[in-house]
Amino acid sequence: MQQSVVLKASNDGYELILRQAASFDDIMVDLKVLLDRLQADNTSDEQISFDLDTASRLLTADQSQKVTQLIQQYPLFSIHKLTADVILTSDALAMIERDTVHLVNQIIRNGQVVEITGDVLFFGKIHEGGVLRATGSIFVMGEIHGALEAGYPDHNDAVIVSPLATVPRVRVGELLELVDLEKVVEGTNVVYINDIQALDYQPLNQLKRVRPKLFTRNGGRI
Amino acid sequence: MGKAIVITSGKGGVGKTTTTANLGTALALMGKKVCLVDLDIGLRNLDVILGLDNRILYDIVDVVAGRAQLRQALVKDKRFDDLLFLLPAAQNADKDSLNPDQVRAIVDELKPDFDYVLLDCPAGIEQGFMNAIAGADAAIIVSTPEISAIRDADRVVGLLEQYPLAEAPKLVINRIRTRMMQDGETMDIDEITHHLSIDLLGIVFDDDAVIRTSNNGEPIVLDPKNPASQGYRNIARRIEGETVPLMNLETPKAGVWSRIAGIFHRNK
Repeated sequence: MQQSVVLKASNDGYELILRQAASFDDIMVDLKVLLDRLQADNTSDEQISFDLDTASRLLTADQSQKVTQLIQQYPLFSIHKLTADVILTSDALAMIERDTVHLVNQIIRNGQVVEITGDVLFFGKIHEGGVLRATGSIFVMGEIHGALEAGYPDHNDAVIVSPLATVPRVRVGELLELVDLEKVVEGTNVVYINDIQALDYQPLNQLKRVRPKLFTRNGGRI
Repeated sequence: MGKAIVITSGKGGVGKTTTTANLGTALALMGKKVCLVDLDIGLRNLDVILGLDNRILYDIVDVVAGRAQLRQALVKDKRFDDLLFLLPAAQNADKDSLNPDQVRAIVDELKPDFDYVLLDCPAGIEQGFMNAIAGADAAIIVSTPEISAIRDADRVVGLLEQYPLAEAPKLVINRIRTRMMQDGETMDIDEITHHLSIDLLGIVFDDDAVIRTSNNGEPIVLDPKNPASQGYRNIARRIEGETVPLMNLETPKAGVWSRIAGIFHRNK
C-alpha cells in the first residue's frame, strides 16, 4: 500500500508531504512510524525542521494541532512551516479584495466615512466633513475637500497620491496631520511615511523612488 | 394616492416651517388637497404661521396615544374649501413621544385622502428627523446660501442616501439676498447646486414681507405679486410636474433705475 506520508529531501531541508487521498487517521499512524524510524536512524543530534505540505487538503485547527503535538514529541524534530496547495474561498476573496485597486466614483458627504479594503482609485468628490478611508493606498483623480486616510489603521507603507491644495487632513498608517500647506508641492503630491517615521510630501515624479514596491505588484509596471 | 414629502434641512432657522406652510398653501391654491404635518414636537410653529394656532383641539401625540381619532385632530384652514389641513405637533411632549413606525402609520392613513402630505421636519438629525423621513416618499432639502446651512444640507443628503426614499431629494435655496449673491458675498445658485449635487427644485428670495405676513398668520403665497411668493408658487408648480423657468436674480428689482444702477455696479 502506498504510504500516506512521504518524506522528501531538498536543498531547503526536509519536506513531509501528506498524501491527498489518505485519511487523516492513516496519516497520523504513518507519520508516527516514519518519525520513529527517522529517530532511530538518526545518528547525529542535529535539529531537523520539516516543511509540512498538506497538498490539496486544509488541516483544521484541531488536526494541525495534533500533527504539531506529534512532532513535538521528538526532541530533535520541529515544523518549519505548514503549506498547502489550496486556500479557503473566503480567504481568496479577502485576498482579491485586498489586492485589487478599487475604482470609486461617489460623493462622500459631510459626516460620511467610506471604508475600503485595499487600494482606491478615486474619481468622485469628497465634501467638507467627508472621509475616505482605505487599508491600502489612495490615488485621487477627483475633487477632495474632506479627509484622506490611507493605510488605515496601521499600514505604514501606504501612500496618498493627490493634489492637496483643498485637502484639510491626511492620514497614512498611524500618523495623521492637518495638511501643512508649506510642505505641499504644486500639483499632485505623494504623502508617505519617511525613514524617520514622519509624514512627508513629495512631488508625483518621486513616487517610484519613495514606494518602488507599488510597481512590483499585480499589474504594476515601471 | 397622495404623495408624502418631507421638508428638512439639518440646520435650524433656514425656513423649513415657512416653506412647508407656503408650499402647502400654494398647492391648495392650485386646487390640490393638502395635509401639513408638524413633526417639530415640543416646538410647534407651523400652526402659528398658518394662523391656526387657536383652533387646535388635539395633536399628533394625542392621535398616537389613542386619545383622539386622526380626523378629529386635523385642523381645517377655512380660507380654502376643504383643501388645506394641518395635523399639529404636540407642545407638551418631547420628540421621543413618536417613533418612525407611528409616523409612517399616520402618513399612510392620510395619503389616500390627500394629494400631498407635507411633513415639517424638526431641525437636527436625531429622533425627530428619523420620524419625519420614515413616512416620506420624497424630500425637499431647504438651505440658505450660508455655508453652515449648506454643510448641514450636505449631511442630510448623506443621511437620505443611507435611508433612501422613493425619490431622490431636491433642493430649495431659501432667503436669497440678491445683492449679496450678485456681489459674490454668498455662494451663487449654480455653485450651491453643483456643490450639493442634487436637483434644484427652486429658489426663494429673502423678503421682509415673509416675516410680516407670517406674524399675521397669513402665508406669503397669498400675495401673488411678492417675489418670495412667486418663488414658492413656482416650486409648487414644479412639484406638480410643470416646467417653470428659474426666477431671474434681478427680477425683484427690475425697475429702470435699479437696472441702470446694476449696469454701473457691474462696470465698476
